[in-house]
Amino acid sequence: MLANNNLKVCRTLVFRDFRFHPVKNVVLALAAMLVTALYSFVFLLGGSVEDAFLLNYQYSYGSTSHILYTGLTAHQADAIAENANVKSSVRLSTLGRLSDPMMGQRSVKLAVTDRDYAESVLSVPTTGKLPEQPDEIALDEFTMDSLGVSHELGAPVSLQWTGPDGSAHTSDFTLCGWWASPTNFTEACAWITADAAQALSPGYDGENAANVTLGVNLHQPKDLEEQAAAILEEQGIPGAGFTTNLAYNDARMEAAQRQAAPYYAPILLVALCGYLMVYSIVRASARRDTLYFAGLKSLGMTPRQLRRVMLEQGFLVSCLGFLPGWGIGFLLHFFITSRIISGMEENPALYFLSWQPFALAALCALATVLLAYLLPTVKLSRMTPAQTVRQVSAWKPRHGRGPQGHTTLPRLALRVMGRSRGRTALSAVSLLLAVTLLSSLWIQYISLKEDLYLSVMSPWDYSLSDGSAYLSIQRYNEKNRGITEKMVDDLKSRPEVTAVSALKSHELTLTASEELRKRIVDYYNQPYDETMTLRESQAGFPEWCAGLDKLEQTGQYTALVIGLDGAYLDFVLENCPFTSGSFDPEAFASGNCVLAAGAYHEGVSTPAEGETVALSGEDFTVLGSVMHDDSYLSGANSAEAAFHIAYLMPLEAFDRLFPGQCCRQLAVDIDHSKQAEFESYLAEYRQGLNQGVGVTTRSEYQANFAAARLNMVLPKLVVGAVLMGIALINFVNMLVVKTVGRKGEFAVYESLGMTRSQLRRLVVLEGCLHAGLMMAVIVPAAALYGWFVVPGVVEAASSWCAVFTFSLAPLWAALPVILAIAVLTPLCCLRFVTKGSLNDRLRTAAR
Amino acid sequence: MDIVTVQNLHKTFGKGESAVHALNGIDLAIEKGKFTAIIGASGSGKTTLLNMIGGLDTPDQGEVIVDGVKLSGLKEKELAVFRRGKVGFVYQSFNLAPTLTVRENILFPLSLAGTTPDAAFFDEITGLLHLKERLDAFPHELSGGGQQRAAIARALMAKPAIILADEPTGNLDSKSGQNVLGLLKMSVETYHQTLVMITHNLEIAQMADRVVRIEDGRILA
Repeated sequence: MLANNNLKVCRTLVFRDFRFHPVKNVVLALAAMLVTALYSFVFLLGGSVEDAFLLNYQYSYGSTSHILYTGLTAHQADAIAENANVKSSVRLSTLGRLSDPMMGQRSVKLAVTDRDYAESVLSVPTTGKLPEQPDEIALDEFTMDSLGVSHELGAPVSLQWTGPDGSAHTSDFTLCGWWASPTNFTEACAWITADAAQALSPGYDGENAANVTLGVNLHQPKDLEEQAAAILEEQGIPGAGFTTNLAYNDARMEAAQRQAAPYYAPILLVALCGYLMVYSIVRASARRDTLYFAGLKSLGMTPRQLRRVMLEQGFLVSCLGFLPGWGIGFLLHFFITSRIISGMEENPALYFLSWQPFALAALCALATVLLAYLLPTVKLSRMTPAQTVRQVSAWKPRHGRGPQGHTTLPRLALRVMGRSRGRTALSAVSLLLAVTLLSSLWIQYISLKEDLYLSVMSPWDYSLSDGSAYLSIQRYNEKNRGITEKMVDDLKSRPEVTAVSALKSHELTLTASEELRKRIVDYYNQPYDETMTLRESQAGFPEWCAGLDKLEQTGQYTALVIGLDGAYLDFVLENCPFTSGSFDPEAFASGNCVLAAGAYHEGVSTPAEGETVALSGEDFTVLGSVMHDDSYLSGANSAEAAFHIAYLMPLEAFDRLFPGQCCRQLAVDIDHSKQAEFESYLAEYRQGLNQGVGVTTRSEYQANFAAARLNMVLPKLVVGAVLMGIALINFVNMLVVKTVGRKGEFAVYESLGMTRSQLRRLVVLEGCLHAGLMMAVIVPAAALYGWFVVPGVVEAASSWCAVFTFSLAPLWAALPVILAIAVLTPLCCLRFVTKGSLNDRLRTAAR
Repeated sequence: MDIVTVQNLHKTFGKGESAVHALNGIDLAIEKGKFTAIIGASGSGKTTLLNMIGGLDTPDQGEVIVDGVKLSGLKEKELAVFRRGKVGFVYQSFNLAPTLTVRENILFPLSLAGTTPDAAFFDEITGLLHLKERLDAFPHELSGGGQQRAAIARALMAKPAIILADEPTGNLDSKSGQNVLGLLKMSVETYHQTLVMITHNLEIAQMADRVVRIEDGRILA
């Protein structure tokens, strides 16, 4: 027997199939393109989100280097840089650290300018330049605002800094440049020249000076801790300090993968939708293909050859779809990813672009297309040619007649519904999936309420903070003049503004009476729970503990005097429960009374109602004591004020005690209809300031909310929209096949006297019945899903600003489209099917 | 010498009340090198019997042996290889691959096997069947008679043990039918091949060495 399987002939058959059936194959290639595009987009999006998380970790670390070695001598740094595992290195010579008390919790190195190192720690000036003259210095904006340095090139800078030996210095410079550095807190630097360093600390770069920080990039950035230690071991520098980049930490990488996982989830939908789409197109010509392959099998084509032909067809249409699919996927990525990943100066779609997602997309698209070809292939290869032919002609109409044996057009149309049940079911299922998914996403989207979000995230529309109090790790500098009375007046005079509330604060050292001291100490010594006291619960905050110890031993404590009005006072009254006394607006407004604010815990931890407290030489009666929720305060207080008692008074009384002090923060409310004008004014106003003022706008919160809401649904929405497209294509496909496949049948009807008008009515009726069938399937299912299942989905999202809101807008939008397609598609097909003479059509149909 | 032996062949389509017994215990032997005509009414089981002999379908019961090959128990791949080498088919509807040229169609069974065709034999057959001028045409560019001549050439090309023809003139006008039949008979005689043909036409049946009549799945004569 001729047992050889020639596979070359398969390729000939495949190429000939493309030549003879271009429409089917072009449609298949378009489907492959769509599938490739969706895979590309999902992989690019997921990869970008994962990379964005890693970049965020890198920002938290503060350097792009894989390892930072600290406290090295120049010789040791040279030795490490020459290690075989080290790909490249940057180095920094440090004189000491800024030690101005106003720096708060931030640690900033005073270092000799090195552009390479500056780039690796994202600290290159964006305004001005790196220092070139001995008196010049470049700083980041947070340091400038904390120190009260004007945002002007040439502004004087007076720095307190501490050398490695603990010696304190104060040096004066001129500002030559600054940068925003919104993310770098751990590796922040103040740049000076080498000459200045030599003058400030002669011999700072001596052979034995262990002041070099070496940033190292490795050839293989894996197991950084082990590699860092091994390099030290190899170079004979045991004990040198080092830190490793968080972005390369296994746990962080796993965390990034975990956080990005939801963005990869639509892959399953793409696979399902892609499979359904390609399968339905392959099935559209199933009858013709089956007969064709039955013929080839009768001539001796083996199952292996048949599989080869079909899978090569699948491979070819996939390959044709790759390039345009990648292009569309990239465009989707370009326009959508940048909306999902925010906060980057560069376009994240380009910044995180890599080739791997495209390769993965091609592989997945190929697998999906081949899978769609596989089922018919397996079926065909398992059957004998006679079985194959029988299977094609398996459909038999059911018996049924009209009352007197007459067949009416509606009855004839109804009969058609029984044909191609599998294809009809496939259409219904894909439409159901698409509509259900879109309705579910829509409900999830509209259930997130902006007003709820804004009311919690921003009790007032705009927060303006002094530049030294913008971040929670910054210590508020009372001497700053960022928010002046003039600014307050300017804001109040704006037509858009409905209210401006101000807050000022001032720290004082007070001595508590013996009774107060005992009361406070006893308060904190009370049990917190069964295992510890309140005081012990604060053991993690040594500065707080030191403050309480000081009070216990000397009676001295830090008082934070807060002058406030308007929205800030309302916030306190609403969120800070009274532990003694109550609020008397008139007494408070008189300027002789204060509210004492202590720990957010039951009981009085401050002077109580009716007691007197002397602030800056003036006696005030305590109107009441409250549990202080101080989340409305911007920035941080001094380390000494970690343990404090706050005294809240009207702004006028504050100004009387501390005349000339500027505001720590402002809360501005506006007429929301004039938001755009006010924000435009505010942006312009800020540019005219030479002092740092941190502004948090209502639109930022709105944008955050909109981005978060969009992020939640966007990847699935894109897939849902494409699934809807695929479902509609399936539906059209099913209608086309059902109409075009009955060319002979229509010719017979016409030969028996059916007019064109009756024929049109017949196909319109069929279309209406198909639309009705689809609606009967999808409307109740989508409604039930939306009503009974989606509330659980909304609840599972655990969003505090979500309130389930039922809507089936996508369903209602889809129904007219389905009806239009169902009616118009057969009508359009009818024009082609009834072309030519009746005789020709009858003869063609008979073949 | 018998090239085909059919023993107690049964085939039923459908189940229950709608079951149709297409073959109902057929026993048949076909002598090598002879022309056997199978006649019978529509639905009598002629095509089913031909399909069983050609390995296009599998019986429910019974045995088919063609040129020493027992078809029962062969897997689909083995059946395909059997069809490719042992049987040449000529159908009423020609069954030419529409995407292949006449030349490619004729050589297709050999292409599937990866066998180098006998060029002289190819020339001889195409000459005999008047196809030389149309070898690069596609099937739809030929007349019905031309397409059937191409199908006959394809059936002969692999030098099969037996040629099975299912009403080869059924789709042709009488003149073309006569031509095709003449060519088929001449080819079979020239190459000493066995021909089994289904026909409704008694005139054609009379040209056969033996006539087998089938009725309700049974052989009558």
